[in-house]
Amino acid sequence: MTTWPRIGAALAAAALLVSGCGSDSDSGGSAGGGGGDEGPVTLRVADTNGAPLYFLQYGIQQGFFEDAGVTLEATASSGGATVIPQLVSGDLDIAGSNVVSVMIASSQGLPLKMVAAGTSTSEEPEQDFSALMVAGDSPITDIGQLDGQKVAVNTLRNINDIVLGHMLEDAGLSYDSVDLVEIPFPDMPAAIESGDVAAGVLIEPFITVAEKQGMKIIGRPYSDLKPGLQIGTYVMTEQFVNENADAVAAFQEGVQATADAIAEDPEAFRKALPDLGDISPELAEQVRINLWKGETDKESLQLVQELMVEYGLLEDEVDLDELVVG
Amino acid sequence: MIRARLGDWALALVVPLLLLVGYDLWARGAGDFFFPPLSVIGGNFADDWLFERVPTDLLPSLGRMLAGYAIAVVLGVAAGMLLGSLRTLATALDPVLQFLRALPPPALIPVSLLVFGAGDSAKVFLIALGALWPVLLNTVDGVRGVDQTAMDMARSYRIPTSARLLRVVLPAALPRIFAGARTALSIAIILMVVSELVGASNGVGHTVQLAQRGFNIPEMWAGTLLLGLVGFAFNALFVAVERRVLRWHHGSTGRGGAPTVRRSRLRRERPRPALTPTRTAVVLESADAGPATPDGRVPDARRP
Repeated sequence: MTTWPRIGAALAAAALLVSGCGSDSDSGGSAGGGGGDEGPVTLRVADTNGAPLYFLQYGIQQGFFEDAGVTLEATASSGGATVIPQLVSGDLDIAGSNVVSVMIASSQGLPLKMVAAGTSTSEEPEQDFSALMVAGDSPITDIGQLDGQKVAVNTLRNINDIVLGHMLEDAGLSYDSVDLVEIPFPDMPAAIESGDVAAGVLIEPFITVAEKQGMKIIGRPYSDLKPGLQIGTYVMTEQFVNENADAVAAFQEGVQATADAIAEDPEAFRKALPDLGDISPELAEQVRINLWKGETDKESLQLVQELMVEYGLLEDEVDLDELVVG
Repeated sequence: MIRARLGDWALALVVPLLLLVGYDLWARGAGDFFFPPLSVIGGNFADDWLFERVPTDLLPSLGRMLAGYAIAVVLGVAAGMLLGSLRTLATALDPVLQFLRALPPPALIPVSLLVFGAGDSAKVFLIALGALWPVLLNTVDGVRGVDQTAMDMARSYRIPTSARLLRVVLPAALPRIFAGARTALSIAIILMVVSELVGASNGVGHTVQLAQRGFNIPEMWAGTLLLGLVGFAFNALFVAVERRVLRWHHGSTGRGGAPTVRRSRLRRERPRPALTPTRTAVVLESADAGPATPDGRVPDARRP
């Protein structure tokens, strides 16, 4: 029984690759009438599979990037640190990653620039796309009761355990008062349900799936740090930014236009989801929609960075004015 | 003799040293972020693995690996003896075994996470499952290859089944079992790393992955280097053990290939007829892997 959502997710991921190619060529066709006649620059971008990628595909589908004068070739990635080497080696022009990975990479000396904001969580805590969840029959109702227990995160030493650490500190515990275990999102609901871990930090659409199985939300890690916390970011290499100012500006314009369109009419984006990601219409109606801001939110970065230094992910703070260009 | 062996050692060191020096020179010139110079990697290696992380990461890794490997060997030899002796059972189970063998263990990571959770048992299971097949199948082959005359002889002298298995079949199959166990060892080391890439909270593979994600490239290489050294050391250790346990085999056959029990028995019969009052004793003694003929030993270079 519990395997069905997982199989569905796998199919969605597989279909995503196919539909990604499909929508790409569709928009190419419509752009001919749209106004990219002078042969806009083509940029290769990879973004985390799921909502971050849907965002780009929505912008492509709606012609926002063509209007801005850039053709995007968007592909799915597993996000985080995995795309940075591809970016540095020149296989990608733009990488969709997360702010933690990029700040670490930057502090280690990789010449990166954040050019635009990726996903942010909603300003409404109820609509936060992250959640700390426990089993339906768990006696735990508050993060303060997790002392000494196992908690699942998808990746250690990244955004999810950082925001969790902040929540623990707020509850009077410390970052290392729980035993963090790395479990992939799709496997997390089963691990929580079986009692293997006491709780887990999940993101959409796994939250919606887990809620259907009767699991409970006991906290909102992202909003808890800051409502509207920026998680995703678009990065380019310093060299590319210096040499392609027009393309960078065009990409930023397209991101901003897409972000504004989704903010103005989230329901239209929701309706497009089944086309973009081949996720089922029912699921699309229920998932929480992320927020996109367009421009990088330095306040979010500063908050995350302070925690990273506190928890030992960064030795020293990076110069955000150097790192962020849009 | 000794001088020749030292020469061999020196010769064997030349290529690795050349490779290391070559890499270092290239890396210094290239200045590539992902390929730091050797000195930087070496510094990280000393910081991490001499010996700060040995108890926290290396030992848990090795513990899981050895546990899984031990389960695979014990289970593989036991089941292999059974299947090798009972042809009907082997024929009946063959399709199932072939299917299970063909499953790549990493594909079972999601299943083992669900069944065993994110703890050590899932990883031990994965390692045992992957390492089992070479041991099992080689044992079956080895048991089937036991000289029929020896078996008939043992039967006609009414040697109890347990003694027959332990003192005739097992020693005769041992060379094949060792061949399988050696393959299984390298598989176990590979799966030790693979099993730590998902759902781990310690271990060398986990450390390498964390370093890679944290863009701590020298630390990543230091872990990779350690894994190579661990594999190398275990293989050397295995060869040493095998050489000791199978001394009679290498000595008697003059080569490290397929077991030829018959010849070994004939050879050994000759030098000490006075010490062996009955033929039964000859069979038992010669089939024993224990104190073997030191004569006619062949240099190790002939081993595969």
